[in-house]
Amino acid sequence: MAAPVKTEKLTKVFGKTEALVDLDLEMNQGEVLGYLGPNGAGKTTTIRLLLGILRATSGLARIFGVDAQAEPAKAHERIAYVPGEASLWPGLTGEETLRLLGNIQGNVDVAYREVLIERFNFDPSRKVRTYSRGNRQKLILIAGMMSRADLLLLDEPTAGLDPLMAQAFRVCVDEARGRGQTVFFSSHALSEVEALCDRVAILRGGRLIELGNLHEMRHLSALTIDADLDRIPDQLATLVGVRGLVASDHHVHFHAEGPVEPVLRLLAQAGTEHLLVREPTLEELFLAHYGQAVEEGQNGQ
Amino acid sequence: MASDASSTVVLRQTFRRATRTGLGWGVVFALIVVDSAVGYQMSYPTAQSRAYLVASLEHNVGIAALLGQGRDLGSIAGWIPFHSMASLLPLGAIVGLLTASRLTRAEEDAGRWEYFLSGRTTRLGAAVQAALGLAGGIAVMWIPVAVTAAIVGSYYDAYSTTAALFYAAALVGAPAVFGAVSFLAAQVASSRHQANMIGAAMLGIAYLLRMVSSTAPGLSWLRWVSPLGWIDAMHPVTGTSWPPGLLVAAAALAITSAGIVIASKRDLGAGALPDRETAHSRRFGFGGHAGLDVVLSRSTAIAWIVALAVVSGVFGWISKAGGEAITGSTSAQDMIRRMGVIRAGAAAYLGVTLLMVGATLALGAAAQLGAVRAEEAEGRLDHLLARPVSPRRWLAAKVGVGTAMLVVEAVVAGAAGWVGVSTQGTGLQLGELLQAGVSIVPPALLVLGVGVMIYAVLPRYAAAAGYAIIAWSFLIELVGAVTDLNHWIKDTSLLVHIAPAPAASPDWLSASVMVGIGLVAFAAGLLLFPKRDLAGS
Ligand SMILES: Nc1ncnc2c1ncn2[C@@H]1O[C@H](COP(=O)(O)OP(=O)(O)O)[C@@H](O)[C@H]1O
Ligand SMILES: [Mg+2]
Repeated sequence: MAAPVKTEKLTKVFGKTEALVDLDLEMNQGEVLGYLGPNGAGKTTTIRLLLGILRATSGLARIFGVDAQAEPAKAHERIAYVPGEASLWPGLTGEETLRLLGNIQGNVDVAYREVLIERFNFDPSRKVRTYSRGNRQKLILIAGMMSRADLLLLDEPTAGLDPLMAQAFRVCVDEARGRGQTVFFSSHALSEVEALCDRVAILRGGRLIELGNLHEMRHLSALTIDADLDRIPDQLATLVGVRGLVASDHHVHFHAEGPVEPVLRLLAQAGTEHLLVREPTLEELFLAHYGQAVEEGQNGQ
Repeated sequence: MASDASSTVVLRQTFRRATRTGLGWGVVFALIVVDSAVGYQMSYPTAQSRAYLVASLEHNVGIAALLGQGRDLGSIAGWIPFHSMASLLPLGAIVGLLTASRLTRAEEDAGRWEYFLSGRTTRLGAAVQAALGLAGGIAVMWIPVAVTAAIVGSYYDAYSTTAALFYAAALVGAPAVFGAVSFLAAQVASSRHQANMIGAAMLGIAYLLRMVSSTAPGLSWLRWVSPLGWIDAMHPVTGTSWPPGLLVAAAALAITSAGIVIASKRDLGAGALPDRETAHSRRFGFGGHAGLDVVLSRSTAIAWIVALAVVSGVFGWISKAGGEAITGSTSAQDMIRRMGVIRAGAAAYLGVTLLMVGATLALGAAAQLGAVRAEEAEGRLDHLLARPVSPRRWLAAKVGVGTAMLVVEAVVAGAAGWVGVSTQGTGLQLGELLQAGVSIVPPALLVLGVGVMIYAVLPRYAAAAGYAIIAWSFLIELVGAVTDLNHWIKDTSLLVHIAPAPAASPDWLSASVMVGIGLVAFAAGLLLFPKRDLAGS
């Protein structure tokens, strides 16, 4: 059976902007792939190429063996797509929109649609123009997830959702995995894909720089730590997993990879007064890991 | 007003955009003033030709209904305001309506006011600022018109500078009053679309009242109910009557103030009129993209059909009186004979009217192209074409629904014209008028087809290309009326190729050629469309 997604040297150039360069990617049946990259990395470009609504500059994109660039409508029979930001027909009600998109899509699980409406606490009887951004996002999420398509292409689907709804979305992805659907979903936050994905692909400046399972990505799952201390322990700089250490009088800032326990013990001994631990942004990670700033929107976004 | 710069952000934004629009249209208005003067000198150089003109136009009911009552048409000073205001009153009103709703309600719908108002500006303050910004646009619009009118007046030694300034004020009166109407509607309505609908209805009523008041002698008082009638009554250049002018200004001020009061009392994003937030979902029309097209086009189609039915019906009704006046005047006959009119009387009058309806339909086709492009540019098309919908089928369905709309609108115009004229006992048959209706569709179809081809390659320019074809056709007609144009150039105008049926038999050959060109361009568009990137949101 052909791979749900297979690209060969897929490339898209807009004028002088290399939005995507030589992407080689193959997905396995039933896997959940996190497609990670900062803004402007080329995530949306990739998905729109897979849908065939952007014309590739060169390279190939196949969906279950169908050339998505040559026969997009045929490829779409097995895809459900959820864009990151939704502009819909303002005069239609939520229900009319779902009915329309469902009829066009085909393959809708009506019972599951009702489950989704309930789960997302969505009121489909209102006109689209009265929905907030979050509600519009729920609407297109439901429209995408209610279909039994073999492949779900989700472009930053949780943007605009509050944390509770983002949690509900994660349940949906798990259910999709349980049904054997293949899920490709893009994000710019590592924590989001960590919790969900079998494999993670990392894109930067249009180029795929990492691809592997979460174990192989361990080196990227760092924490950013800021601490106010009595004194700065000398061992901190040499501790395994500590990177990008910046120390001033009574303050340290660094990234910690791997087990945090040794770090915390050291900080406790150093008389920590104030501790801030958070997940780094992708940009910070890249900075720490590759020692180079991501030139966001480098080509004049 | 507070001195803090950020608290005047609505004023600055609105003023900048309103003055840009005002200046642009001011220049267009000025050009039309010049065109009226130059056209008169060239077309009616002799005292004799002017006498014919007076005889044919001044007491012509049909002309008065369409263009307003002319005064003193034997002199250039009478002709310039008559001729320019015929087109600039409705045009100015439309510009005012659309600009005011765009700079107020569209901004609000897009959520930008939310952002401003989270700062230091109050609802009341924002409304006052927006009104001042729009007033600035009107003031700036007045400048090029006034300067040009003054120059034209002194060049032809036709009227004083004071008269010129007053004339320019009359010309910006329509955008001022209808801008105010739209400003008020934008506060009452719950979306820009609804505001535009209210504004358009008001303009339609005002225009009809003016039409009836200048056609039916017993009802001439009705013009005091229509702002367009007040502007007529200002008698710019020929009479310079101040009281109606003050009435226009006072009305604009009062309507705007009402808008400001409502604005300060309502919630942002909501309207005073209830919007149906929840609605019973309609059962039909959501089976596929073609059904969606029908649903999306329905209210626009109904608006067009009603408007065309009313206008054609009224023109049919006054066509006998209008036609008789044409028959009585050699110069008017010359004028319309140039347009291909063979039959005289009501048929001639209706034929010329339907030509104008044909041009309007072509404008409708260009507007359809704009809607197709918006569907893509605003990202809604993504939802369809990312599903198993062929791009070619989607485009073909859009064009199919659009074509059907144009044909129905044209047939309704013909039928309504017949209903109107049948009260007059002219012997014109329903069949003739239905044929005449069908015969005015081809230019619109050509515009649609060529526009689709452009859309398939350069979507951003599709509507502009459509409007350009129509503007070019009018330009050729205009220039062709005063000079002898090479027939190759003349043939590039679409309007040359429609016969003024029922006053002449429809030119089916030209019609087939225009439809053929449209079809070929449409086919090319279908071929090319899937070969380009889809512009996402
Ligand atoms: N239609 C377009 N025209 C020109 N440049 C584009 C277009 N679409 C995307 N780009 C550029 O391609 C790059 C990748 O964009 P995108 O795929 O949207 O990134 P992401 O989805 O990862 O944020 C960016 O530099 C963006 O500016
Ligand atoms: Mg994106």
